[in-house]
Amino acid sequence: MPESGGAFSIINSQLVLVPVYDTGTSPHSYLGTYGASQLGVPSFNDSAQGSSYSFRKEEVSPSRVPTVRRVIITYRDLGTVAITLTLSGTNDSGAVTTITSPSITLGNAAPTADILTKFIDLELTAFRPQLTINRAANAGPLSIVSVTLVGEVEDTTL
Amino acid sequence: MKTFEIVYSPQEGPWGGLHVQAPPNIIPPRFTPAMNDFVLRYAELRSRPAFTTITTGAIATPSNASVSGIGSFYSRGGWWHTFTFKDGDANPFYELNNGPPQSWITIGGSAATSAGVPVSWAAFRGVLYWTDSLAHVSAWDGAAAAAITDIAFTGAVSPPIAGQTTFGSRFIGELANHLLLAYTVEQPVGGAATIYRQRIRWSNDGFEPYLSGVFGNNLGTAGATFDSTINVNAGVVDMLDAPDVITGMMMLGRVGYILRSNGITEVSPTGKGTAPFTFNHLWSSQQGIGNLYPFGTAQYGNMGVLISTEQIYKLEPYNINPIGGTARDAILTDLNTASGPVRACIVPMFSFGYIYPIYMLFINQTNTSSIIYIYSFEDNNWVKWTMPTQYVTGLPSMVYLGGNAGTGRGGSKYA
Repeated sequence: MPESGGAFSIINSQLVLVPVYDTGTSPHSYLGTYGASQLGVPSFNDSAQGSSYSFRKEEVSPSRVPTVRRVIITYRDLGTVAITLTLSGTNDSGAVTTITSPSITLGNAAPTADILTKFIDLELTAFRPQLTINRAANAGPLSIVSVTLVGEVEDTTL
Repeated sequence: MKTFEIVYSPQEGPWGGLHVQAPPNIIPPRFTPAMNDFVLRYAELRSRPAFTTITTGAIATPSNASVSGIGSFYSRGGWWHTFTFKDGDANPFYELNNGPPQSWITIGGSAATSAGVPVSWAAFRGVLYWTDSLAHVSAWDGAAAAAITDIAFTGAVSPPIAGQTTFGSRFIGELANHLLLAYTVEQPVGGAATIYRQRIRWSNDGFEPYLSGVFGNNLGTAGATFDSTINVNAGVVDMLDAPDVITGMMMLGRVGYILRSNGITEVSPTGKGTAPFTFNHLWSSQQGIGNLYPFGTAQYGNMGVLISTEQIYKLEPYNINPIGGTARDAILTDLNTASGPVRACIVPMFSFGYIYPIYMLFINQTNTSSIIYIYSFEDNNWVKWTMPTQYVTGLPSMVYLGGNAGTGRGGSKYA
């Protein structure tokens, strides 16, 4: 019986196929896949769709206004990727305040698959700051291991 | 002023995924109140695998038509065959030919398919059977020059003639060596079709369409029938005592489950010739846990997923558990805005190098885009993906794309 590495070879000839209809500029039916190829790891750089992830609104110290000054990203190097960071919160007047970083490049052109660290200076003073990470379509593969917000907050007075 | 460092890292387990069941300032830090197109596998926040639409080459769609079903089955001749169904077509059945180059070839003889309705299929004793909510069940053994339509009918004459009734169904499966059809559509030859939303039909034990080695010769005889007047081992039941309709079917090993909109019925083999099954309603009430989305269910081995009014559940033999978790409300809200049937599947991996056992729920939005919710069975979390310009037309499936060159068929033989 044909085998590959001890497994039935049929296993490495399988792929998940998704029948779709594309309503874009050239409407058409397709078979699509997230597997990219029958063997190996897929690409994590979608050319048509970006990605976004928001962390929780951070109650650093209840009823106190913190200032976030730096974001530290620990990530796995899958190759170069461009991201933006957005910090958002609210002020005393009930208005939403945001600040978005310029484009930040992570990773190396020749991916190492190692865990790397990037420091990004980004400042926002607001209630309950929230960090959102955005990756645009075709901006590269992104893989985050941890994120740290660094800043300061008023001491609570008794 | 005092300094702070807030770390987001799933040090006590995997990332939690989507959480909409509490204000975003009090959810645990490993959860997210909003996200799109990330995958949380192996405790990393990673942009999801790229979705590649295959427009040319061997596995582009057959005749560029919408595909309402895709899969692979193992035929009695020892070959794997990959097949698709064209949506709403009179000649809808295609097989992936080996070539080279690989291409889709039409296998004639199938009944037409309904527009916009996913095809239900099952492989049984080396033969592929399929039905599409019309009054026909078709079959192909992987070797015959054409498929056979109308393998399910009353009476003894094949193909059926006046006085006989053909039937198909919305759901097809196999339990204890019987073919089962649930939510049947039945049509007297030359007459009009009638839908029986609470009916289940089953074949005789070991439904065998072959006689003298010819596929289709045994239909309507004691060896291959759904008519209990020909073989007492075949039969029919109408679950009129349940106040709802059949919305799915799962065969989880030794016991099967008929899913209803407000309940679940257990189907147990008895081993008795005249009454091969018992049907026990786990509950039969005006309201209760059931399945609302006929093609939002999926099965993998001895477990399946169903979507009830108030929750998403994982169903195992004699066990049902909620899995909607902290993303439940987001999922049910998007389901309420779905256009057309939702589609779902459970896959153990996307490809051999990416093992990721997940349930995927595809929600069509106004026939222009899709929202996809992914549940990881290993991490017990939900993520949300989107397809901004695409919607799913058939049930996704893991298919076999291998083959030996020069054999003419899409399969590869394992001696």
